[in-house]
Amino acid sequence: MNEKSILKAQNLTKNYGSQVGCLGVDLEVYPSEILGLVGESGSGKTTVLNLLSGRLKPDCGSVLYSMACGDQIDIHAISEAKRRAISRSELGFVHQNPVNGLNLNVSAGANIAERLLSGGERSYHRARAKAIKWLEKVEISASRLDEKPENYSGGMRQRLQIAKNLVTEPKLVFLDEPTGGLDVSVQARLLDLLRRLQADLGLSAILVTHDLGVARLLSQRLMVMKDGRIIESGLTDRVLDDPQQPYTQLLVSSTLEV
Amino acid sequence: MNGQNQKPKQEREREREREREQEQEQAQALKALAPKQSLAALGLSKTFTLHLSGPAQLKALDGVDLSVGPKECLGLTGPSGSGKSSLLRCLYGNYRLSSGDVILKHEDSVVTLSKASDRLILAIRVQTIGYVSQFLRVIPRVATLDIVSEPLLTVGWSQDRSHKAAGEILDRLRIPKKLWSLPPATFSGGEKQRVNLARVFVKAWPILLLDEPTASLDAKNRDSVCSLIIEAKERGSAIVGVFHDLDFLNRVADSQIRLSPPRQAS
Repeated sequence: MNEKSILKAQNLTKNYGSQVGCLGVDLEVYPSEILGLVGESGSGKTTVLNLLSGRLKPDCGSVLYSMACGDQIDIHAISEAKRRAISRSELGFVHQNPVNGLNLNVSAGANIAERLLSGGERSYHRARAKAIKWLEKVEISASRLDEKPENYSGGMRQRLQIAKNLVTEPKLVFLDEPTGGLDVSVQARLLDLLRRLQADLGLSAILVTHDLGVARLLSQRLMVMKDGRIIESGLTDRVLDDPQQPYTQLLVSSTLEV
Repeated sequence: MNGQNQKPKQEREREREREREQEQEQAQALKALAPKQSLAALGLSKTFTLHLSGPAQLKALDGVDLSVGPKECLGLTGPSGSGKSSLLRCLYGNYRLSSGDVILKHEDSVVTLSKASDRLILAIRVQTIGYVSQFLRVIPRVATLDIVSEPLLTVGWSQDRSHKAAGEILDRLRIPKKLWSLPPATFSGGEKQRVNLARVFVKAWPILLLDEPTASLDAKNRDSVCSLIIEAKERGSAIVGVFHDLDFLNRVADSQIRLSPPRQAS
């Protein structure tokens, strides 16, 4: 099988002073695949996500991304303007705390439309129609389009943040603990939504989570991080059912049933 | 400039090298799998290293050989702890093989499991191997009909066609229509198991692995599962199964392998 990956990171390394962020991380993401990244807090998951998405510069290593047009670019070698343009159209970033990914002072509709308008959409009506379509996809009533998300519950804000990211139909989405801090019922709805988007839109994603149950249900392949390094990786069910490394065995056996 | 020009050339060479390796692997694998077989295990062993207790070595399988071809069902028997489920999990790629190998036909090629990439194993699970596990594990809040349709949607069937096929199989397994729109979380053990079966039998698979598919079913539903297995066989599936019920085993299996618990190194 000689498929082409959509994202390829090589030897990503980042130190914060004398503190290791991540060390020699290699990974690839394939089209329509969700790659899970698990590990304890402080293991370097979010650092890796920020390096992959170009939000943080690595000390060394590269991140190659295959654009929709077929060209391959190094996320860290292009201009800031180009990186931003790509980040707003082809990539998405869903923060653990939706407040970091939304503007709470403008309406939900404006939050979604902003990404479209900055991507070159000129028609207000088209943008509004798309915003409504996406609110419905994430199960937010269209009647709340003009409301500011500061009135929304945590779960609704998270779904709005996902809608905002997906309105431009990105190829690859970075998910940083997308279900962290949500009620289990809301979490289940989000998991279902993400699975359907993967199936319907062929979306690829890198999912950072410390919840092995979420990783099991959403990701096809899984990487385990410890102290900034990837210590084990493979098929998600194999890593969880037949973990090889002492740390992974500890992680799996410490979890309530996954 | 020079450095940049060299890189693609090296990469091309590496690709050619990889292709040559793949051809050799293919030739070896073809030799190992007899022409009429779909799936074979050769000297398959599985040992778990439990780092948290020692580390201790736990042998689950010790040099298992088996082979199965289209329209054949192989039954695995043996006492509890003899590694029947572990063997199925090894065949599915769920457990890493400690030694020996699993060889199988996937589309037009022959795959050696220990050398297959994760992506290839995922493709094999979409197209070639269906696996009925002992427990149903699904995203909460997804309707039963959608869960059962998923294997068909994944291979490109339309929603209507998938739902129709899913409805038919749920019907055959006596899941009442009023439950189809509900997630199976609140279903009884037997109902969950039938959903688990429906999700696999909704599609025709070249290879089927069945882990105690009738464990909590009543006689009527056992009969339905029996005819599903026989139909799958007639359509050309190669089946390996663990069936706790001897009568059922004799009804569906063409041959049997008895596993015994491996001797643990002290």
